[in-house]
Amino acid sequence: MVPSSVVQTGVKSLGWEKSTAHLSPIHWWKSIWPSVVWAWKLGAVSPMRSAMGVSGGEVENATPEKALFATLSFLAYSSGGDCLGSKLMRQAQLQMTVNGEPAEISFSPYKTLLEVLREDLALTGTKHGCELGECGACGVLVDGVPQLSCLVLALECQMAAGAELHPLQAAFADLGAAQCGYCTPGILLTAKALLEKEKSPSRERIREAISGNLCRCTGYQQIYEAIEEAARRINERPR
Amino acid sequence: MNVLGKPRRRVDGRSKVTGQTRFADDIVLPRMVHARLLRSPHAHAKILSMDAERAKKHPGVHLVLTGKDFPVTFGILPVTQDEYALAPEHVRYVGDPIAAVIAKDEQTA
Repeated sequence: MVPSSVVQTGVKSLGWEKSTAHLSPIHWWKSIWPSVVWAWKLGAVSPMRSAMGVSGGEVENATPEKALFATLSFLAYSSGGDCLGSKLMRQAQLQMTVNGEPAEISFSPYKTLLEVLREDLALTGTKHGCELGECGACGVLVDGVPQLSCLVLALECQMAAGAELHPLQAAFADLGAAQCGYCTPGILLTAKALLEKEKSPSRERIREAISGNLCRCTGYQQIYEAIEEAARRINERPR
Repeated sequence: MNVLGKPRRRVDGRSKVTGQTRFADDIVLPRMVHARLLRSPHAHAKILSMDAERAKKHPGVHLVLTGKDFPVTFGILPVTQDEYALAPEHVRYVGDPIAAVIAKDEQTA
């Protein structure tokens, strides 16, 4: 028997049985807390720095939303990868454009953008300096904005690249049309098909179009409103 | 005051509309076992006997549970205090779960 405190992040060889054998909440927490602390630091440090004026407005990417996203990703990845023993989530896959060339990369989800650029893409032109956001040697342009790549999770760049939601997705998120979210993917696609056929469908037409999709949360009201709002936004959008 | 009375995007809105939210059914783990429930075909009936021996012997089946394995009621909400995980002696609606089979895959279960 392995003493329970041995279960921790990174002890991959313990494998599935042993880590789940000790899966009481406290052990679960022990196994993930380093990642949580780290994610929190990464998220919290950047806005703090720009607030203090240390790096000016450069680190715009690190909004509280992003910090939350980073923390959640870490939770998902660390618990999936180490705690529950899933092998599926160990590597993150991500497509982005680097120096004008499309790149498809597979990397460990805890890596910073700096590490992914240097180690996974072998782009050593980006320099590894203090790793604390002090020196600026690791600066890169993310969507045109200068960023300290040692303070940016590579995962965050998935959000940066192609971050724009389809008007339907945005309207669903804005108007609470996704509650538990389970029916959302199906309804979004049905609605998209409808809006491609009709620019401004009536409430009746929307009702008919999504009649094949069941939602057990919203009572459909918010969904109708979101589809109407999306149609409005699409029609107003300059072409 | 500029946020009062105005709708705000919910914090999990983005992950919901981009399909990134992971639901229980989206999770696959190595060596995962699957459970299927046997549900009552009757709306109101007594369970006189249940023989799970053949099911237990079926290859790939790990465990068969019935109401006898859950003699205590469970309840998180006040209204669920008198509910059983699996009906112990009588069923109260069509679809009331009476047995669970845990097996190597869903098909077997």
